[in-house]
Amino acid sequence: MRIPTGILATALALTLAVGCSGSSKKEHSAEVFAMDTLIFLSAWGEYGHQAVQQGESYLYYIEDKFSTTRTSSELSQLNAGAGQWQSVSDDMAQVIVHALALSKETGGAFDPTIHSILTTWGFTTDSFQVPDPTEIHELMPYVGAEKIKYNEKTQEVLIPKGFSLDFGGIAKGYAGDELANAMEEAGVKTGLLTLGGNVVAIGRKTDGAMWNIGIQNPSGGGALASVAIEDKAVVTSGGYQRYFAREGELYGHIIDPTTGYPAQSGLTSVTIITDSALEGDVLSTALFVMGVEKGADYWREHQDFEAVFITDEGDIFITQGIHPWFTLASGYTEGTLRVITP
Amino acid sequence: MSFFMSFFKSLWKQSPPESQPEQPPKLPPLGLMILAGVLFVGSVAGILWGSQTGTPKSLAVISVDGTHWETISLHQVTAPYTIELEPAPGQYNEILVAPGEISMAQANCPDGLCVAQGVSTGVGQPIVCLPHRVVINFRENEDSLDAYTG
Repeated sequence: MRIPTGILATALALTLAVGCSGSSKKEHSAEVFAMDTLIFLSAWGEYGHQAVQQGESYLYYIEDKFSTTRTSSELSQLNAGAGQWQSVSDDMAQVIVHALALSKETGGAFDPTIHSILTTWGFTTDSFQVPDPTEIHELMPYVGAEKIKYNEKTQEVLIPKGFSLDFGGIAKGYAGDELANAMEEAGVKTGLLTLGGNVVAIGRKTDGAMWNIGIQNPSGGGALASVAIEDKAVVTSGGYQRYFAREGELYGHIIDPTTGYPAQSGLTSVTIITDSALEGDVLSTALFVMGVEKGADYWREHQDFEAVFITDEGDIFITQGIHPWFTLASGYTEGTLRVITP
Repeated sequence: MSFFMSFFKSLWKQSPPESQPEQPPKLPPLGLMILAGVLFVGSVAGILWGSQTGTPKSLAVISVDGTHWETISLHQVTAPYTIELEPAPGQYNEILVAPGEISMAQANCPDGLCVAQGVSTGVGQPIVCLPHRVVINFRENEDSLDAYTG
């Protein structure tokens, strides 16, 4: 799944056409704090410098669209206007369409209407708390992506009253795809974008080798494995990435939309390797909620992506397609490695 | 190396002729001695460096009929294990992986040359089972990852 690039590609192309210089082996990079995470942009070659500069501006632009903490963002404005049809920008339209489609495809394991539940738990404000069960019960009727109406012809959305959207599980993926596509169209042949847990690779490295992407060990201590990729996105979701502890209990930020409580699927992380960072962003969350058995079934039904599941016990399940490109780190003895077959 | 040898010979030529054995040998000028020393050290370093380039290839890349099967960091292997392959119906290859080394332990190929190649530490020629089109190639290790996810 590749998202058509729009304004960004045009801006990049125009900028790059003005004049470029530099060695094809030279790296141009930037660190950008945006979208509630640290983002690394790297591009090699004569178009790299301008591409990275434009990419940085684009990330701030996207943040202004999809932030739920900035009241001035487009998404915050849409949530404030719930109960009426509202026009949306091209970027918002793309994300809404994909979010609703993938929510349906995953059987609701990914749901962009989980925002009010996330807020109750404090994950959107860092004011963590364990909500009263009655509070969750009262909010659950306002969770359900199928209630969101979108009119493609008029490019308008209807968010029912009481509902609110949160694209935290898809916006970084969307941005990664858009950036990668725009950079490629502008002539960048080698690039690496890291948006939080989302890694997007453009082409291969300058020496022709594949990119070697480490998968974080949820128990700490660096990577437990690596995958070799080219022109792919690698996205990981894990409960360990954001959580809080109360009375000896850990509460992770990935909420099961069917219960309103942190997902307890027996997994500590799910990594998706796919052509689209957007799809990887959504599926890493959805398959984390599903657990390894349902997640494996989902992979068998689709097989247009690969996955790495890490269980609470430290066992690793990988889908068959990634096996040749998967390397376990030295001395990993916390669990066993198993291959999921079609 | 040849330059080093010719330079060394040129220094040798500067020693006194044998017709004057009673005179102490005349040492070459200090500058030449320093230059010779620098060249000697440089040559040794060059030889060592030359022997190292391309040799620390601790990544073993297994392919079957041109299709990548698995990559193994040999220096990261902590205990021996085997990989059993069936490249085609009736064909059998067993690869033995051990800490820092790899070999074709068994194969029912007609010539058995792959097994005869013995144990490799990831240096030199690939282990090839031509009849079964199984190849264990080696490439330089890259300890540093390009990025992390998670």
